[in-house]
Amino acid sequence: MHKAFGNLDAAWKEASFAYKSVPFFRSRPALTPAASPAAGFLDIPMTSKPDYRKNFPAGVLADGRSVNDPYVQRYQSSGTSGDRLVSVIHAFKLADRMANCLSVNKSLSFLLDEPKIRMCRYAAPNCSDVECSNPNTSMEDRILQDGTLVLPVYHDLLTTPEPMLKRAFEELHSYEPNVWYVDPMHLSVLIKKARASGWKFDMNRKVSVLLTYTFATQALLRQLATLCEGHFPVASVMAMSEFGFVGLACEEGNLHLNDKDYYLEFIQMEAPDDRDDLWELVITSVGDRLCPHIRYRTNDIYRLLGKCKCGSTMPAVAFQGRMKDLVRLPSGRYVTPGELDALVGAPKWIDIFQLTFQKGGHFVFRYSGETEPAADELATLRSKLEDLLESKALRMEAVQYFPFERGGKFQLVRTG
Amino acid sequence: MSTDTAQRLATLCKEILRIDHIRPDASLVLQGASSMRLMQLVARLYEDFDVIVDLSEVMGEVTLDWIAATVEERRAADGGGAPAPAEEPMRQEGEAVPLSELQLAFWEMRRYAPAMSAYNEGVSHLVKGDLDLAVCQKVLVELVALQPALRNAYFEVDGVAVQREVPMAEIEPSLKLEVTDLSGHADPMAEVAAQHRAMYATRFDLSAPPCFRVAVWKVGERRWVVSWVVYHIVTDWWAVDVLRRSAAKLYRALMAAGVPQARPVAVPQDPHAGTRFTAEDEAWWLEKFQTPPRALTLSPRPRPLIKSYAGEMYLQELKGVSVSRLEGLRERLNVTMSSLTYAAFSLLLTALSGEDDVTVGVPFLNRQHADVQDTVGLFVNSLPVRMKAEHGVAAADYIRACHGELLEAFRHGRYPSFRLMRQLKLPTRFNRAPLYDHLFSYYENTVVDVVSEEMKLAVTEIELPRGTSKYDLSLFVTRTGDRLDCKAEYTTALFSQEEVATIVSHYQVILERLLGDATVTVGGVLDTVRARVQPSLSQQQA
Repeated sequence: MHKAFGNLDAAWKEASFAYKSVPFFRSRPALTPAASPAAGFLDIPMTSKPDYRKNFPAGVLADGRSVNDPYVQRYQSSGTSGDRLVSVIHAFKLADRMANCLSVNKSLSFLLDEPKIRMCRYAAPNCSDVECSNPNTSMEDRILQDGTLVLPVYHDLLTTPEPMLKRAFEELHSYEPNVWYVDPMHLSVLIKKARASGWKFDMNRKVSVLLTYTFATQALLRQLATLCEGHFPVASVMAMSEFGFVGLACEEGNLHLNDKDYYLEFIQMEAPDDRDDLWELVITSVGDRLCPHIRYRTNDIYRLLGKCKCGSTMPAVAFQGRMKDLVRLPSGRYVTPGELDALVGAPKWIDIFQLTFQKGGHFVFRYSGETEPAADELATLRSKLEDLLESKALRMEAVQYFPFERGGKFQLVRTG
Repeated sequence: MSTDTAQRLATLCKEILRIDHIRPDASLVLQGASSMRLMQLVARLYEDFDVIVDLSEVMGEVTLDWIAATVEERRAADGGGAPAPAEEPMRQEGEAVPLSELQLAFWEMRRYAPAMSAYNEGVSHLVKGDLDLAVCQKVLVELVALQPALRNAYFEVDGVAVQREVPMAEIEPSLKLEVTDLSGHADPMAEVAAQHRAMYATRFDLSAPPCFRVAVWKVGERRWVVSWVVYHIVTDWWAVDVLRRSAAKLYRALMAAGVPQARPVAVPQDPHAGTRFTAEDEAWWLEKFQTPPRALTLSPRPRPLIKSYAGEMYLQELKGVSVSRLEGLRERLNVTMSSLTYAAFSLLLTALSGEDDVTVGVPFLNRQHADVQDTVGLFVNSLPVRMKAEHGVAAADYIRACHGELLEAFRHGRYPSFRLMRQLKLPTRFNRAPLYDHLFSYYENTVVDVVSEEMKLAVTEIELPRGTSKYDLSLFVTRTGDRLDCKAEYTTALFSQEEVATIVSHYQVILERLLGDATVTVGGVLDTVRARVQPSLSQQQA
């Protein structure tokens, strides 16, 4: 099954441009004249990260374009799902994509008319292009080409020393950003540390909190709400280093993907169970004359939500995790991070949790929080998890520490 | 500055910067333009004028006049602006379109009538109940209207083989069900079989569609046989299911409404959808056939000097094989049923031919995209899958290797076999197919056997003799629930029915051996078959 959103004619035009003007695409068999874009587009072979990684820069830049052109910005992926990918995007395309995404959330649309966007980024070090994990760097060392300040943090978030947390807290104020572009896990840690240490956030600022990088679980959102609710609008962003903003959550909390700057295709995953209504997102850029992406497999899995109450025409979806984060049960069913989060919810005794799928079909559910669960709460959660995982081979463990991945990201579902 | 540029810029500014009355000589920032909206303006200028207007040095002071002058200057320097990239041409309705490389194989066959007849495809059903023939006729017309491929004409223009969609009005008078009443015949089903063979011998005039026929035989009180035969250039076997579903829907609707509803929009056809391969696909196949495929000989009979397409079929349920045990083996080896049954066939050919390097044709559906799922058209590509059998290797590993090879072949399955054949420049042999003489296919639950209470009709798919065989031997294994059936289509010049029955029994024995002995080697399986072959050969000679 296949569903698509956006302007197919524009996507076809993008593909035609790429196949004429980009060496990597030109090396492929030419597009065959088709009866209609609908007939021809689906037949264009998909692309993936390795295609862009192997062919960067000469193979994937359009003829006559260079990485030194004005407005060309360079980004590196975190490399957590393989080798690092370097992407180049025109800064004005990034702005355009961000602006179109912001249109789905009224509480954030004021950003469109802010004289300047000042952004602070607080996330895994490998997501940025500066040495933010080095405790000896100054604020100036960590300002990106586009003016974003990257706050200092260790790769293993929970081992970040107090002076570094304090510096992040202070810079979050002194740089006077109007956007906190953060990993929800990182911000929750900072909020807890600030509360424990008596550091006071300045609540009179006009700030928007955009959550990205790590799956924003309900438990994390509950912790962020203790600081932000009623003060700072919070919304989840779907962003990729290859594209910049891809989607934004509306005020109803539903993620809407941008079908104006991209042609979005969803390919249904094969699954024997009807409950596994999972779709992989495939993106084609629109109007990118620097490094067009054609039918680019994101490996990101979604559920499609249908019409959203907010009224936005951009498709509403629920992010379920990356393809590699899905656990396939012996029955063939998939368990996604999204489904796991929906089941765990946001009880007060869980701040962070992680499900590990071990060899031999055993599961370990680890959780940490500031309070102890009541016995019946724990038993209820265990029972729900057993139903979800179709297994009794489940161990529940209260822990004080979670290791982060090599790249500094947190995996909600691990296999190992 | 041209008036046109100035006007377009003013419109863009109003739309993007949300400034109603712009002063062209004043700073846009001071007039309220935010940095994000200015960047949006730059993006739009790039799209509309193909000019990058770099504001980084002048952001605070940038004016509309400055932007307009910059745009004009850059466009003049580029010779009036880079031309917009040419788009792929759209195909007009009724326009002649070159045949795909999959179709070309069947276009070439028009030169040799027996081959052409062998590549007539189709399906037959036994229908019990009050079939309304007038409604059936309407269904036929509606199906042809819905599926443009069914009204394609095939011909040459300046030496290029093309197809053209014939308008419905032109073709409609020739759309007729061929109805014959055999209910008074002494043996109506035998007569149906004979007429069915004759129908398969049809040599369609490809330039004058329809290139298919639909026959309806009345074989008794409220009993009918409905057969459809079509030349392969029009479509592949998948379309049978598409048409069957559409026909059922139309029949139901027409019976309910009495008059045809508004005609639905025709399903767009794109004959090239299955052939857009990559250089990597081509390299993969060429590497596989750096040495030509080995010719296999299974039959002790002399091979005719010119390939014979006269054939018969043999049907047999594989009663000795437990489907659930096969499932168990498949799961243990982590392969598909298709791979498992293919591996057994490959071993069968190795055992009977004495050749360890075996190439088998395996049809690849080649309909990956949703848009061609409901299209009548030719997308199937029969892939030459090549396996080498090493006798000391565990049969389990051989099966896994077959699975891996099939997956890789399917991954590169868009590369047309017809093109491979031409690229390899294989020597012409009149008595063999170029790449392989044996074909294998596995299906699951595809046989239709339904009762419609609403229509008061029972429809069962049946096999009727065609009198043709495309290859020396083709084996079609079908699983229906817990049952495994085999259909063997064979060339009568090389095999008798008894010989084919024996071959099918060998196939069953291979599956049983694989199930019964987890440690058996490829050599062990081959020995098992060869031990059976010797006595049966002596028997034949006697």
